[in-house]
Amino acid sequence: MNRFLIFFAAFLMFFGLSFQSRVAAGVIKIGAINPLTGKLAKHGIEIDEGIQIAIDEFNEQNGNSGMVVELERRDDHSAPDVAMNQAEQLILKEKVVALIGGYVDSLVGPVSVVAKRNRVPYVASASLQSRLTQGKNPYFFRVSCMNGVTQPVIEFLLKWKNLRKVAILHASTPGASEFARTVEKKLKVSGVDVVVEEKARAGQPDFSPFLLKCKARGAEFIISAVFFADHLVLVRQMREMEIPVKGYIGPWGVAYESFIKEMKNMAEGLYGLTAWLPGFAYPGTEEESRRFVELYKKKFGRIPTSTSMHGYVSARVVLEAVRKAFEQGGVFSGPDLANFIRKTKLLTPMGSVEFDEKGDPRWYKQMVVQIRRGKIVPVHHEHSDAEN
Amino acid sequence: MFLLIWEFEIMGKGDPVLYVRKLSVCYGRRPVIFEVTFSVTMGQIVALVGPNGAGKTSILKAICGLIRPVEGEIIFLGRHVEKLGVYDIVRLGIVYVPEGTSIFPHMSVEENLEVGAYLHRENLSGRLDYVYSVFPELKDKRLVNASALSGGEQRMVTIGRGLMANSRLLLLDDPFLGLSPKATDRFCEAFHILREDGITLLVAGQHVRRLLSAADWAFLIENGHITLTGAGKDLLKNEHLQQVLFGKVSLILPGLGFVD
Amino acid sequence: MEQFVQLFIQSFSLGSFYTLLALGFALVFSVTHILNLAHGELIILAGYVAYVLEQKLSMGLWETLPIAIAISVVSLMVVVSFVLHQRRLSELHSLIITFGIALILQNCYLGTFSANYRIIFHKSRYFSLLGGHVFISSVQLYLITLSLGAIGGLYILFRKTFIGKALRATIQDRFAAQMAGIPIPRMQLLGMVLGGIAIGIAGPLYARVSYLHPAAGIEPTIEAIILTLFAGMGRIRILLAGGWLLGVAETTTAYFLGSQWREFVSAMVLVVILIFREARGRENSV
Repeated sequence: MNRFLIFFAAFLMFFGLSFQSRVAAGVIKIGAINPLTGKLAKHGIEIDEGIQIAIDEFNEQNGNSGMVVELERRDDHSAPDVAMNQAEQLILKEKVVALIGGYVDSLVGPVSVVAKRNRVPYVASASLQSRLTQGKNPYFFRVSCMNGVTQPVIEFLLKWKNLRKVAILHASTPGASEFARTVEKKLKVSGVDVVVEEKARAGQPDFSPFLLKCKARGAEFIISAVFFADHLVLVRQMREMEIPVKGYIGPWGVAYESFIKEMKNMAEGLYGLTAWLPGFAYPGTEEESRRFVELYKKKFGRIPTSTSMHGYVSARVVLEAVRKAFEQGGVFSGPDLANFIRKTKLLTPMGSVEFDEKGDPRWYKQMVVQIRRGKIVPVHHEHSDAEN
Repeated sequence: MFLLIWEFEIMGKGDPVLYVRKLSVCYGRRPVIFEVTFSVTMGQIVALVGPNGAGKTSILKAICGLIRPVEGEIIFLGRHVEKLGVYDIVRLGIVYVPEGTSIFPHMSVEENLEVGAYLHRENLSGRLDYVYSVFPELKDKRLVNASALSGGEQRMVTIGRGLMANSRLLLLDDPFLGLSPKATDRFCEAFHILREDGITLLVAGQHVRRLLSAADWAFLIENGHITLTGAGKDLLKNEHLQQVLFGKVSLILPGLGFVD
Repeated sequence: MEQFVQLFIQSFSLGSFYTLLALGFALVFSVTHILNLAHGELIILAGYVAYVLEQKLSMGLWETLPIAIAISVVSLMVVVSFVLHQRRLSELHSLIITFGIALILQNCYLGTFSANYRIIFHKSRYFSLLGGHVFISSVQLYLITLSLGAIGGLYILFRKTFIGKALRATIQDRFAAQMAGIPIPRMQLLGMVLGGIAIGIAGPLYARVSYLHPAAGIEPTIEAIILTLFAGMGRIRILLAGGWLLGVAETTTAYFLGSQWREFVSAMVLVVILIFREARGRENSV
């Protein structure tokens, strides 16, 4: 009896796998996995909302052609094992044709493995670590990459006059560690001393030893590759202890309206990185950017962030591939969709999106911004080198 | 001159302070006390003796409210107390002093005693003085942490704490356990002082000879039944008791259960 | 030199912060034997209450504290009553039930306050020491004085008042306390009120020192468990000593070895102390 049940289950699984690409009556399912609860919920929700806007927009534009995309949203609780489990459920049970979403490499990595095993394309919304795209995974793509973050930071710092000593603090995640290593190496080559280089666990209540060390060793600039919440504590302590630095740059978490809202004038003058701002879109996409902000505001009652835009763009990439597949006969097999995605040529408010052979975005590059009088202002980016 | 009776009513001299009638107690589903009836007279030292596991502790715990009896009545100074909780029974003046030590280790001797007066806080210093008069040993160590005392002194603290609660009936469970003969003498002496001061003591224990020679009245308990009753000194001479507790006769009567 | 004095101040304010986080947990555990895994969530709740009052209604810390305390006392009682009403109560039961409550609370916060990280923005005042090179901020002063005040207040309660002695007796031996006529439920209620007050003080400070987030409760819970393990039942002063020790250990480690060693060293300190305490306990029991 038991053996029979196992056979039956195996039979079902087999069918489940082989028919996964079949699509029921014009409804195409796409799965989104994000940290909607737990430590990373803030950014996970932002991505998730950006994705929803893209889907809504798509269905509105293509509803007449009989092509309807249904979004299956899942919460990974900010935990890798849950993320993996959700990915498997989405593919095997919900029969999604593609996966999107994901914040931080520790959550994106496991999902990319499941995607490869089941031959379903996965376009990650926010992932940086180089290692993830070196595993020859033809089903894994992402709209962000490490280079697009390290390069602008290094360029920005090297343009600074007489910068001799910097301090680097980074979160213990793989992405943040790689960022810190890369920046440190490049700065050293260019003759800038990294006088303090430290890793910190997310969520600690006290950064004063690090700050005191920065002061003692004469660091002029703090590069802080930590997450949103840690900036709140770190920046406040830096201000309170009057650490004499010329600048503070945080690649993640600083260029946020909500950061300025919480920190008030303590955020003044900080540098951050962002791929997009509501009022600052890639040339030629101003209209799309404006429409995105408007839809987002209408649906969620707040202004989208750069992280939401990442979610939106990753969804756009998949939707574009789905549209192509639909136009070419409506077969949504994993390898075909992955091929369409690989040939993506898309202009988005975040810049133009094309993938290289590893699945990394070719042109992804963030810009350096500064908080001035409570506003986020671009100070260093591709098409405005003259500024500042 | 002894009686082997299942059920009997006995009245000592003076008034009964405690009257227990047809008391039955179970641990879970296992019955341990079967319809036991006895009374304790005011101002006496009454001993409960019997082999291990005979039910001495169960009777004491039932009286002080720690175990709810299945059946039976417990009347203390004319009031039914079998349905009351520990707290109310302590308030009425029955204090149970458990076997072994039961002190608050990280508090001083005096604090231990003070806490005993939780329900009767009036005239605190007067009652402290009384306890120190019964156990002068404690007065010298009143500021010492209770955990630093010897076993005998810790037991004095426990009994003293019971006295602080203004108790009229002290239920002592195996008070001589682990004490030296000298310390045991000391406690017997204290029990007599207490008796003189009008406090009734119901003492259960294994130290049969010592207990019975100190007691005014005594009961033998076997397998949850009272099988013998009488004045302490008389009971000590009783053949059946000697048989059961000291194993003087190798033959064990059928139906009387195990003998330690 | 000034660096070290500054480091010292940082250590003590951090240690005081840890002590305040642990105090409510330790009190509840000592009196009721409940391991309240929803402890951190209650601190976060008090933090959110203070956040709303201070940011939206622009009240000051001293006005919000009584409200935060009142809400914490009530919510702690609700949480604990869920556990105490179980027929068969063990520490394992309390772990499971309070963990469930913690998850429910986290989701409630997510729905009510959103996943945004929040802090109470405040302008600290500074007090210069040693000729202006070393400073102490008002929040650090609050942390140190409030933790000292709470511990001192509890010390006086425990040592000098009758009810406090009865509470200590209940903590040390619940059975003996019952025999002494101490009403255990009333003592548990008192323990909860005290624990709730401690949580109500910790919450608004947590929102200043760290940040509020629906899932942030786990950190204070872990901190509280560690310190309570370290101090043992009902040993309030050792809680403060333990908090300071942890603060000094973490801060000096982070300064001399780097932040990455912080957790490692504090874990080592804990293990060494637990071994030491175990050995000493065995000696005493002989």
